[in-house]
Amino acid sequence: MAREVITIGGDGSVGSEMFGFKGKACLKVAAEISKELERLGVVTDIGGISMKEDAAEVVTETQQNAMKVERG
Amino acid sequence: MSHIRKETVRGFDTVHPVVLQEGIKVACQLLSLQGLKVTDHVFDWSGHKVTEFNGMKLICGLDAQGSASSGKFAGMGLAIDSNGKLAIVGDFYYDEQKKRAQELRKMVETVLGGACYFAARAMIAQAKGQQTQIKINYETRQLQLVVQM
Repeated sequence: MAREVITIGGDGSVGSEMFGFKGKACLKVAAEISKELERLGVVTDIGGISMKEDAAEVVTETQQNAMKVERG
Repeated sequence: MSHIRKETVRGFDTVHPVVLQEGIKVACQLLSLQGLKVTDHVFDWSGHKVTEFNGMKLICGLDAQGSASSGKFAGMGLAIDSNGKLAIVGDFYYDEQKKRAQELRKMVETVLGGACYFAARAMIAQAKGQQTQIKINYETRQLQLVVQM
């Protein structure tokens, strides 16, 4: 099965083997694919990341959409 | 006397509010990997925890150390206002607090565009029924979204 790995770094640059964006371009492409998302139907929560009392906690696994967070 | 107030940030209203909300969570996770304290609250002048301001729920608080009156940094809250704009909430009274708020704002603005893209891609994959995983690399301080297509 084909897969794509998208990485985001501490400087806000985002990319995969096929593309890369940095700086203001990131927001521009985010706005563009945001429209695609509206056409598909907005998912309310990407899961995996939630804010807790004292820290941004990494949830090890969520039931929603079989989404997982792994420590790698 | 509390000086807590809200300020909106231009530019990020071009993305859907839900994407912006999830993007803020991704951005906070990235900042957390860089050692920044991330909470669900900020402090007010007296040291009370604030999780909501004028009916607006904070998505997260950055670097909340203690009451603003003590001179500590009381935290910079991130939220989305009723117009879908990125809102910054906090009690920045002393010069050092204002300076720290500016530093944090710059850090947020640096990562938030990419974080919104990252979140939107995850949401699109989910909307298409594709399996997704978010991996955290503590060594490189990066987040990875793996989409099975």
